[in-house]
Amino acid sequence: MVYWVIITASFAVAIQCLLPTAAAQSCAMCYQTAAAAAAPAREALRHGILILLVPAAGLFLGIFGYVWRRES
Amino acid sequence: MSAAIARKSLLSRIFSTDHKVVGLQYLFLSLAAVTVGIVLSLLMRFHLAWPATRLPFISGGIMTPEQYLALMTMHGSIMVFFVLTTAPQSAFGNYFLPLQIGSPEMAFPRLNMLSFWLTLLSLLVVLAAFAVPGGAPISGWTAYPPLSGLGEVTGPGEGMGQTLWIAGVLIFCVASLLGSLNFIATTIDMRAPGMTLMRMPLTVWAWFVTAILSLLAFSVLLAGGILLLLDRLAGTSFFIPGGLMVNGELQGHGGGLPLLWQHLFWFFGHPEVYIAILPGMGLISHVLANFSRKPVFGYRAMALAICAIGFLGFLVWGHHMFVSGMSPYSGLAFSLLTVSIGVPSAIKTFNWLGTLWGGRIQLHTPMLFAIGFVSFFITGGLSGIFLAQPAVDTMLHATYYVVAHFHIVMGVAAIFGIFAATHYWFPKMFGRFMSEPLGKVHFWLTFVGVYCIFMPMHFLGIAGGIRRYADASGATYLVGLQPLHYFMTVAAFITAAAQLIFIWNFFHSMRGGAPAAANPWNATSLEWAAASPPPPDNFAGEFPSVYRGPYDYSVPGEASDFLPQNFGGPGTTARAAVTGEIPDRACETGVLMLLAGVVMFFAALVSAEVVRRGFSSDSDPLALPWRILLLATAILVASSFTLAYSRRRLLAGDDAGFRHWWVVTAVLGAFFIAGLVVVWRQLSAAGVGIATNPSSSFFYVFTAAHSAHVLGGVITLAAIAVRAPRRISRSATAGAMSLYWNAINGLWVLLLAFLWLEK
Repeated sequence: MVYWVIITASFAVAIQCLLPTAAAQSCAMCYQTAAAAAAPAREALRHGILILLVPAAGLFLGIFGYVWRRES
Repeated sequence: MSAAIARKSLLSRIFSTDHKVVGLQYLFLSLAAVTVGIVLSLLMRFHLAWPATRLPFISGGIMTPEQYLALMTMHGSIMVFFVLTTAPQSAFGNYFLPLQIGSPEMAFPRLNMLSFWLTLLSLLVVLAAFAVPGGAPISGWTAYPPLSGLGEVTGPGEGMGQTLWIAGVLIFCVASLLGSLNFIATTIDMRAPGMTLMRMPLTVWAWFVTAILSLLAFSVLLAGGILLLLDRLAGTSFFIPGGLMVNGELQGHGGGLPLLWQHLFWFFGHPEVYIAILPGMGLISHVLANFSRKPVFGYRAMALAICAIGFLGFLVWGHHMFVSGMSPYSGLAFSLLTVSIGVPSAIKTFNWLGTLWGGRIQLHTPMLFAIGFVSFFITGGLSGIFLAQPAVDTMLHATYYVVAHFHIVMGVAAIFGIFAATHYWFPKMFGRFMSEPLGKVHFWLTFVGVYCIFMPMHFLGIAGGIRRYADASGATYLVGLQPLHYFMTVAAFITAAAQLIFIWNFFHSMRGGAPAAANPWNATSLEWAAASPPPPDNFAGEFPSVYRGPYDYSVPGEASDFLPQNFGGPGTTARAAVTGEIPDRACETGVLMLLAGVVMFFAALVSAEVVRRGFSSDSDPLALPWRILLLATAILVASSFTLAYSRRRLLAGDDAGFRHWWVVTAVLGAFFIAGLVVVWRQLSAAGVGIATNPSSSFFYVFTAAHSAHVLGGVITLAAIAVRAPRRISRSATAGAMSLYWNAINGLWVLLLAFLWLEK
């Protein structure tokens, strides 16, 4: 199972690297709005996104860590 | 006397803490909401097909564009919040989660009841928007500012109607947060002996992951909604740009950022799609296995796929605005994550087909709806692949193609999941079957009808049919598409009429359906071990233990083609004693989940300030009274020590000492709030109000939000000091309260450091 997951993930990464247009995946409207902003503003948006993204991902994984601890 | 008893009995049923009653209350609320939502959509469809036709109940006869937009806004809001979010998770989850894990109750029954009544209140507040001057809001269910932030100057419905809409959504957020932490604590801590993670039905997995998504996502929407409300009512400028002229009037706001709302809203909006569809995915897996008489193909992969979809659901949001100006490698990483969400979705689809393959398929009504779900999920997913291409999306974004896509994958698929769940669990809920012939007629009319509505809609979009337009007949290039509107509208009315069959079947079968045994579908999970309908404690005092996985169908060598989870082997039926008390560990879990929501709420506020400051330079540093702030901080920190000492006295068996220091903690908390009130008064006296500049706006919001959490803590401390909770041990109460109080105090120190850095 793990073996196949690793192979599939590696294949997905390889495909991604071969498709530069895939890097532009986004909501077109949000992209255009953000792209029209000045450089400091874009930087602020990046920071703002990370400030939301990191705790959310951390808490999601943390809850599963908590469940696993309880289970064991 | 008997009338008084009857009244008391009725009240105790209405305000019941029984999870089954709460689940049914949610189900009926969703039924009422979906009825309103469908009526609104029919009015819109009728207007799109025949825009010049007079309608007797529309003021002025012919529907105006603003009235059309109000219908669109309310249709979207009601369906997303009160149907797609409420029915699969809150209704069926509440009823069947404790049953499926072998528990007598949810972890926090009163909180559960409170969640429902808050949800009902939020629905009434949102619907009240129809009744106020100006009517319902016109800004869509996404409520984009500046339209939603300026008030009635921007159009009818944007006055009190929009305010009520935001208030209703905020109440809904609170209800969802309370419900989520209850679901998580119940799943983690209330499972029957032997019910390991990998023996949980996929429905339980789906409700659990959905609850995590709700907990983290609704906290952010709550923060965003409060800021939007302040823009409207307090004159702040979080989302409203400067120099805005509306209807010839220069608006007094300045420097705000509409993009900031997108930033906060879509952090909720993306996971919301999965909040709507994940419970359906779990239920469909459950039903397909039952009526194929086969184990779920790849159970472990299915459970992991649910978790992966939930996790990636947050990261998919990241691509929305992260691409601009970022390094190509970061863009690549986010792009990879975006595309990766297709992998667990494909695993699930493949495994559903694998479950069906070679099974002894029984085409009962729930099975038909489950297969319909798979059909719509594939159809809607395929159209999503096209929208994932930016070049294609730019052209299709504002067209009916997108409307067709999200209605099929998020709306119809999820609603077919709800239909499947209703037909499947009806015998358990009411002890009777729904009519199979009527169910099948309803299925086929709905299945064909939905495709008749939404497949032409794809073509309409590709041909340039623009969404959100009340009347497309005026545009020359769209006139030729009008026959498509006729066809879709007729199909919509026929499909809506078919729902009357379901309504009749549902209500008639509650009393007139054929009686059902405890396990009429020969199913394996624990809810079928209970009577139909289940008694108040679910298992009549004999709580099951679990010996096997949830999908042991057609096990080789066994006489029966199904082995219930509580079946321990030939001739054995083990029982485990359950006290009915809330386990101590559930309190800790509940508070930890509450804190997770609080962290996301404040993360959203901090994120908003960082983005807001980056986009405009109108933030002047505040001259804060630091001495008072530091003194208040010292008092708050001291309260952590008094609380710790109080717990030590409790452990030492000194009840009087425990109470004394417990009350001292509450008093210190009250002093901290009083200190902040002094700070606000000083700032106000210096002419610094909430709307003075972004720094003052965020300062007031941060401190008020934190004070509200401290106030909640003070009230809880005082309540516990007066009367200890009955169903929770005192040590568990003290431990949970200590966890909350210390975390909130720590949060204050972090906020203060953030304010100091700004200085």
